[in-house]
Amino acid sequence: MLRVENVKKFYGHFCALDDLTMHISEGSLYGFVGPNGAGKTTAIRIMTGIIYPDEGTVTVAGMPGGYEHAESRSMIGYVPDAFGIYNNLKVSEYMEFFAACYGLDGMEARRRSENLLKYVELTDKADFYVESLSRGMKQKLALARALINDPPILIMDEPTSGLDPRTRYEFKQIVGELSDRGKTIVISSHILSDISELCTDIGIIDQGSIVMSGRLMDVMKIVTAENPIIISMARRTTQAIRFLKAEKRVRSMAIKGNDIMINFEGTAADEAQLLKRMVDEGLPVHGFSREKGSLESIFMQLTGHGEEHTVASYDASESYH
Amino acid sequence: MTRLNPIIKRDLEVRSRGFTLPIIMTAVNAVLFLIGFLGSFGVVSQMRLSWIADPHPMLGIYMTVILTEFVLILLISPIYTASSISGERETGTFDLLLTTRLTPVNIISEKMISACVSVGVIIVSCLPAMLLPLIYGGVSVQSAIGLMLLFIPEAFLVLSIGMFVSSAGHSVVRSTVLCYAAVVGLITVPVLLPVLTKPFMLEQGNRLSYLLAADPLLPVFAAVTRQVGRPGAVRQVLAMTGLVPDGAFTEHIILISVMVQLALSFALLLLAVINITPGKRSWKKYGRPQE
Ligand SMILES: Nc1ncnc2c1ncn2[C@@H]1O[C@H](COP(=O)(O)OP(=O)(O)O)[C@@H](O)[C@H]1O
Ligand SMILES: [Mg+2]
Repeated sequence: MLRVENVKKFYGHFCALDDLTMHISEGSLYGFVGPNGAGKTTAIRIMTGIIYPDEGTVTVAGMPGGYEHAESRSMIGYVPDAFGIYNNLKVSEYMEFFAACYGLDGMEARRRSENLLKYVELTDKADFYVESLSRGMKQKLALARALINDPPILIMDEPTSGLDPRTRYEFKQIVGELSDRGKTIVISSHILSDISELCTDIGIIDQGSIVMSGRLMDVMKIVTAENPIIISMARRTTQAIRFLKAEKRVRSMAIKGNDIMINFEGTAADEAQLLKRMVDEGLPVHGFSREKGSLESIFMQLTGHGEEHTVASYDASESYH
Repeated sequence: MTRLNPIIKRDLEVRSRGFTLPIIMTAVNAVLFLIGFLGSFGVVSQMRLSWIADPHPMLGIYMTVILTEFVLILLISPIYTASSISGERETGTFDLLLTTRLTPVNIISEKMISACVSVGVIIVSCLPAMLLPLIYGGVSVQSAIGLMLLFIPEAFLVLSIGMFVSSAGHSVVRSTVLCYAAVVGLITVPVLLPVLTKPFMLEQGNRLSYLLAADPLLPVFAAVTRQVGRPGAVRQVLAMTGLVPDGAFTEHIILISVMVQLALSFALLLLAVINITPGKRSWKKYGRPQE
């Protein structure tokens, strides 16, 4: 549905996007995650056609993207990180203004505006001035505005940042519902856990390129495979260690009391095989498990140099309210 | 395309809610009435002594009112365009406009039209203050209104400067300051440059004097001095700059000047359109350095 191929973007000499490639399939809810300054906003602005890449291409539903292609441009609804709010305009007028910018006339504009405001539960705020709304309401209004011409693709730049937990939950509810209705959605965040339960796909960006991407389940599998196996022994830990040292697939080992943590290279069948041989050897194994993958830990690992920053902002937004 | 020009509608609606326009109108009118009233007061008390109703001293007041009003209009105009695009960039709404079906030409022209309407309203509101010094005649109401029409292309030039400056910037403060600097520069430089260079020029006259045609003050100055019966004033100015005051240039100075300024305005608007069009231009600020 939305393809970004080998995109490079320079700001002066600074390379903000370095060979960025993203494939976002139709109907997916794509979590676009990376620490601050990774290039998310830049990538999103390129997808929407507001800025041009220095190299590479964007394809929207098979059509070339970019500002001059009005057709593909109008297939994308964009919620920027700044809300994009006009002062001195009422909520309904704000919606109708953007409807008019898409060439929708009076009655049709009003009807759509009313439906969308109802959808994001802002109907009772229709006569309020936009600037008087709370942060969460502004965000919902921005979402409603992006849907005014009913685009098949919706791109949101850090929509959940700075929202209180309740609004965040409501917002995610709406996004999930839109996804169920078949919209292709890209949602960026610097907080992985914030959107990971929502997404079907994920792309982790760091320093201008994608470091890991795929369907969420596949990514989780990869992440899980990286984790150590923990073998808990009832007794005879030393013999077990000696046994494991002889195993080729065991790359490294760490011992903590009666628990042995091994980095094991192999498939699930290989793991089962190992366990069987240990038992056959008469070793009293009473626990054999692989820690479930934590996306958060892999995210921290992949974007390690930005860790402090990410952690700091993570805490900040978590403690909001 | 779009039938009801959304930006014009929104701008005018938003402005009608603010207090800026009424405050500006009141302030400008107050200044003009004050000049007109105090001036006439002095003149009329003179007339009482002489028992002659002579319109000539009143014409001096008329000229003062006109020039003051005009300068005020030039100084007010940037308010309506200098922040129009940079301001939307600041609030983040400009990106949104770009994602809609509006084209850059739509955006610039609609913003220009709404600015022209606002400035036009201010100009028209000043008409009574402008006519006040004409109670004893001397200049017909028609020609006074004709003079007022001359304000329009000049205000348009200033609005275009503001639009251009704001299309290139990301900060309201910076583009407003730049716009005022440009307006003041455009008023003063075409006069000062030829005046200062005159001593170094040859006998035939100072070519730099033709720069005067770009000065927004010139057509109104020429027209108002002509109206009050002092057509020599423009020749004096031209002579001051070193131009030999004859030929077609001096003869049609108002027309030439308005033409030059309209051309300049449209050139600036075209540049503004180019500025806001997303594109692959490498010369832009954040473009790629030379490979
Ligand atoms: N207009 C710009 N001029 C110069 N540098 C920029 C500009 N916009 C972004 N950058 C730089 O590009 C990098 C990526 O920015 P951005 O896309 O905003 O990251 P993110 O949205 O992931 O936080 C940052 O290091 C930022 O400083
Ligand atoms: Mg960002």
